[in-house]
Amino acid sequence: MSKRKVTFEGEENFEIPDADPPKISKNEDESKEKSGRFKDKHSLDSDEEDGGEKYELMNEDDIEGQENATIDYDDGIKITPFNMEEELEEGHFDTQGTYIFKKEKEIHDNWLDDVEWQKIKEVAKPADDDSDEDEQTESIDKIAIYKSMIELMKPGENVNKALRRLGGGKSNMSASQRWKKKKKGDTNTETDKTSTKNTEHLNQLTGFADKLLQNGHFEIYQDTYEKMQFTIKKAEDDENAKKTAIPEDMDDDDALDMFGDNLDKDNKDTKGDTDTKAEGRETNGESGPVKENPTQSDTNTADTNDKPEETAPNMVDPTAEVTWEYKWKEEEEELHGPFTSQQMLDWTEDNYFPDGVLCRKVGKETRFYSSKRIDFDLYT
Amino acid sequence: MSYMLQHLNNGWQVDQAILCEEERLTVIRFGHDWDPTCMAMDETLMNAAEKLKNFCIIYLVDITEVPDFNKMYELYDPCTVMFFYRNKHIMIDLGTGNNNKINWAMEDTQEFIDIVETVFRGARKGRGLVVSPKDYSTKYRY
Amino acid sequence: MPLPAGLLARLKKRGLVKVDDNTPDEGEEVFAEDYDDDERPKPIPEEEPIEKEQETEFDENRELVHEVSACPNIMNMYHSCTKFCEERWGKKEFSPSEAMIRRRDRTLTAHPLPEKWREVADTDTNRYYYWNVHTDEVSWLPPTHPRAKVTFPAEKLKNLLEGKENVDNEPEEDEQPVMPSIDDSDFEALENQIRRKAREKEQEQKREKQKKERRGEKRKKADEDTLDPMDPASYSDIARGSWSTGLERGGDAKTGVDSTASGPLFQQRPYPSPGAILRANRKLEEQE
Repeated sequence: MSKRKVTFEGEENFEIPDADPPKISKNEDESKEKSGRFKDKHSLDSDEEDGGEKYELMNEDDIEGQENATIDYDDGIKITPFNMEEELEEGHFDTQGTYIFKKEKEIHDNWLDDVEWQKIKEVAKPADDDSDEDEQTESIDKIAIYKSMIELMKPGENVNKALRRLGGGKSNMSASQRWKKKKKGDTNTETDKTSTKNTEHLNQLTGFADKLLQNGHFEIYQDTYEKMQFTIKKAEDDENAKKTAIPEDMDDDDALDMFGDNLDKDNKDTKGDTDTKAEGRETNGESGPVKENPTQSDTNTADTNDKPEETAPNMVDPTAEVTWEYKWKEEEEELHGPFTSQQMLDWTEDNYFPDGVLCRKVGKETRFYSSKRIDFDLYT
Repeated sequence: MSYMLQHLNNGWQVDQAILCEEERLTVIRFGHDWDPTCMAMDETLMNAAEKLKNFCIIYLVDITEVPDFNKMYELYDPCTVMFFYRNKHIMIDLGTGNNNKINWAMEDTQEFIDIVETVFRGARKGRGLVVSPKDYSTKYRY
Repeated sequence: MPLPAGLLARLKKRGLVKVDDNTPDEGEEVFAEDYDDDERPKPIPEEEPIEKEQETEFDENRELVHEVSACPNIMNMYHSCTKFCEERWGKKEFSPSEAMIRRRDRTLTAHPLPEKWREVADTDTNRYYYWNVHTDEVSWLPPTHPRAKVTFPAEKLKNLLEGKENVDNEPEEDEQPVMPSIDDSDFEALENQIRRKAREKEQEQKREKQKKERRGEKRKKADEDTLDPMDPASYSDIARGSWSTGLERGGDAKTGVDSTASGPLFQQRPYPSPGAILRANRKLEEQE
């Protein structure tokens, strides 16, 4: 074996001398070239030397896949031809394909040299904090303003209507009417009293509206009584959730759960008086059925309750809390439940129902749907 | 029935009908009143309308009278039901492959109500696509 | 029965008609001459109407005379002689002086004419000038003379200066060289300058054009060479298109959804709102 090897090597060695030396020299050349190129590329000096173009320019014809310009405009949209002519006017490519801008066109702003960027960044942070605080106070203000505004408004009104109502008595009176009034003397002081009250309210209301308007709430004059109520309620709920969530040391998800439960309780409480609820819902058909506050519904009924309750005996209420019952198979009689949507969601997420179960909402004798297709997240 | 389904007679009305519903889902049936498929669907819609009126308003649009949307909404079927919430088209995964619309007549009112409720809940949560509780792939074929 | 000159020449070339020594065909001569020079073959057809000027015979022995009418307005820039001039005034006679002949002989022996150059008699100045039958250049002195100025004939220059370029194709024999008179040297210099500029400009334009064409050709060639295997043209009968061929154009009928979506994407494509559709429709109508 070893003998063979020796001869083999000998053969190779014998043959190679013809071919090898040039190879080596070639490699050397290449490496030299490379190192030379590297020097050119990476030395700082070469970077700063503008004009001294050490790189090789790419021939324009070497850029592949170019196409000639066909049309300039299509339906008023400019069509850029698929070639480099435009680019080559502002710069050029080197052989590596790097695009190099012509440097003459560079605009230098002298004032930028004077800017101290470190300082600017330092200053920026505290400013951010300030703005955050502003927002918070703003939102709180907003709720407070809403509350006081609602007191001045009647249900079913928007701010515009309320202003008209409050200011109406005065504007309707013509000059002659006023003069007559004066002549009559202080006979109807009562109406005068109410009108002065109204103007007071009017001033207050415009003041509040103006405040909100200045805070960037531009639709305030179109906002309805119900909408304001809803936002107030929402804000309060949010606050409640925060307060309840923080004392019990839980993570965010649980906090959200608590929020859900809170809502449940609220809804269960209100479920007791279904009559008022139905009425409230009907009145809100105009402005916003969902954002309805059941506790306020009794005040609403007077205005727009023209439909009898009997017409909608089993109306669907998407705001109501949904509980579920399920069975494992179609033929089975045994029902499980009721469970909350959150429970169902957790179970499906934990793959508790690998093949899906048949479930339906509690309280309705509807058909069973496969749990696989029901997105319980929507009902939480 | 005291409750009649409202017709929309031009494109502008359709636009406004959807725009002015801030909190309610808008369901629009595109088709012809004389079409048997539409008749079947309208019956379901009519039955459901009363129960859904809190959170959903249903309109009928004659696609011959209002041809504006035929191309864009690909209204080639005799009857098409689409859902809009806050000027946004809401899609439903019905299992049929076409998530944009219900393009057959639904006979079961409760099923339709369930779909609408799901769509409404999803839309309110900001979903653009919801899954219908029932899979219609076996019932409805192209 | 005399045959038309053109036909005769053609027949002779094919050897169908006996060559008549008495009447050498000038067309053929020119043709033969053309074969001699290989630098810039100029297609002078056999039936070219050289015989318009009756005296121009391409016989080495005969004298070529540049004949012009004796029109008194011949030097007027804004006058060009018509047949009427010729009839009215007759033709100028060439009457060379003996001193001139002597000088010409001397210069010709010192600087013999190269090939393709012919001596032409000018009736205007009663001098001889030299004409290159191939390039149509002219010179008052034999071109080999150190002081010779080889130029294009005056008429051609005039056309060139006026921007008529189509004359190049049909060189006319009855053209005179620019007068290298000492008095007019300034004028000549000016004219030369103008001419040079015009030529340079022309050449530059030509070069630019060629470059552009070349570039385009190259691009086109590259396109043809490399057929993208994903291009429908490479596997079907569809004609090749450019990169923007299949793109949907504005105003085309389309649905409200992304029609390119497929598979799961297909199910994720919501329609636009009715308002958006109405606006789009209105825009379309306006465009139409």
